[in-house]
Amino acid sequence: MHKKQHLISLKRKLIMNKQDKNPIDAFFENELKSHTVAPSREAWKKLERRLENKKKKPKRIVLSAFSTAAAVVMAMLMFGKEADNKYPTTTTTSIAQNEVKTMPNAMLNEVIVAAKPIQKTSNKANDMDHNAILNLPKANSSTNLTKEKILIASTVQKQEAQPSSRALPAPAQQANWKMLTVEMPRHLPNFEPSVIDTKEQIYYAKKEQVKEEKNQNNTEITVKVYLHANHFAEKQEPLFAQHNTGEVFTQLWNLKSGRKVDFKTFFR
Amino acid sequence: MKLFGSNKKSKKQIEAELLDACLSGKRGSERALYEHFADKMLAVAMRYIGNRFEAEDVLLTAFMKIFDNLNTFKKEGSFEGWIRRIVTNEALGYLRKNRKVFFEEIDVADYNEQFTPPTTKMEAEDLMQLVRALPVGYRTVFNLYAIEGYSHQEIAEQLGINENTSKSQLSRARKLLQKYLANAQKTTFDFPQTQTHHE
Repeated sequence: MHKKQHLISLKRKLIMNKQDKNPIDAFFENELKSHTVAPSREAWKKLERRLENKKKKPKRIVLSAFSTAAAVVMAMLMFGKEADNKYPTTTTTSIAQNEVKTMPNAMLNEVIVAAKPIQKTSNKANDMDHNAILNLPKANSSTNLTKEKILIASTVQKQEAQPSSRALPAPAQQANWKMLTVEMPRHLPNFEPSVIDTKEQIYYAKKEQVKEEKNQNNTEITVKVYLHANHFAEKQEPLFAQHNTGEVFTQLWNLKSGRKVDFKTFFR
Repeated sequence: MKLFGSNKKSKKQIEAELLDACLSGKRGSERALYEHFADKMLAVAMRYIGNRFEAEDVLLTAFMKIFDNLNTFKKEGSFEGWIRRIVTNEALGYLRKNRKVFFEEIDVADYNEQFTPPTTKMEAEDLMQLVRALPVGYRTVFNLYAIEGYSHQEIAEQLGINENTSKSQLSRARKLLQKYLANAQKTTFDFPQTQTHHE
């Protein structure tokens, strides 16, 4: 009895709905609700492949999960032991950060090179850009790395992997921006791109024109140039030492404009 | 390949047979289930996603989920309804993931409720093209409300927007559709371009 009443009320509701239904909605619903579109012939084959892969997958997951877990434990044991000997009171992450902070530039480059083989996705063209900007040698698999270096490299890599947008960092994040004042002669091609993203989108640069002066021979524009490195904050010198920033800017500019100009001469 | 069902059997019986066959792991049952619903469900996916190839990919992902969760289907409601819901959710997820859906806050438009259906018969494919030409936000709400029968409250929950936004998007969608229909009547079906990104 109860079920019957429920069905009647449902039916009534449906009729009411149909009466209340907006005419456009009703028109499109009637025409489209039972509309069909045949998928391509390959669609089923693709689905079948996916189903087969899925059926095979569980064993692999168990194995790979096991091997990854084992590798992590091993690495933790090895590095933990060594780090304990060297830095008894700090954690492994802070060790890596300290090392990055105090590391000479050349060594820092080496660290970044060391990080390269770990990367999962690599794009050849971008690799070249990155190396050109930092003036780094190509990554070499035969590089002799100590365990500490690998540890730092993976930390650097982790920081790089943090999401970064193509847009300039928000004003709140601009504390890490390094400002340079550059006098740029007019005849030089303009530094057009305001955002430069390398493979890891480490460097961003933007400029704003401050003044324009007309001399007899030349027109000089003065611009402020802001550089930003996503993972090397300003505190983490030496990458952002004045002369280094100039170098980085020069390389970025030359890369983008295709012209070779040494901006170090223009730095105040 | 028609392994299951014949003209004599009701739609419900055929669907029940397909479901049972899949649950018992009968050979060819997955393909039969796919073939039974694929045409209808691709049309559903295409109403949300303008691009056919993307819609087909969404359809396949949805079918993977369907096969994975067949045992969770309670045989109380409609099997087709259950599948349709999975496909719809997958399409919405795809739009969200690819940030193709964007809802702007707009005032409820002055929509003229006077609607006269087109005098000349329009094919479903033509109407589908009109729906696909709507901006993604309008289209999504229109599909969910007008065709799938979701309430504004359900749509708001599903899309993470407020009810008023859903109402205003629907209103705009109706207005645009009315305009498209009128244009299609006047001209020889000069259809607007399908929208695949933000409005």
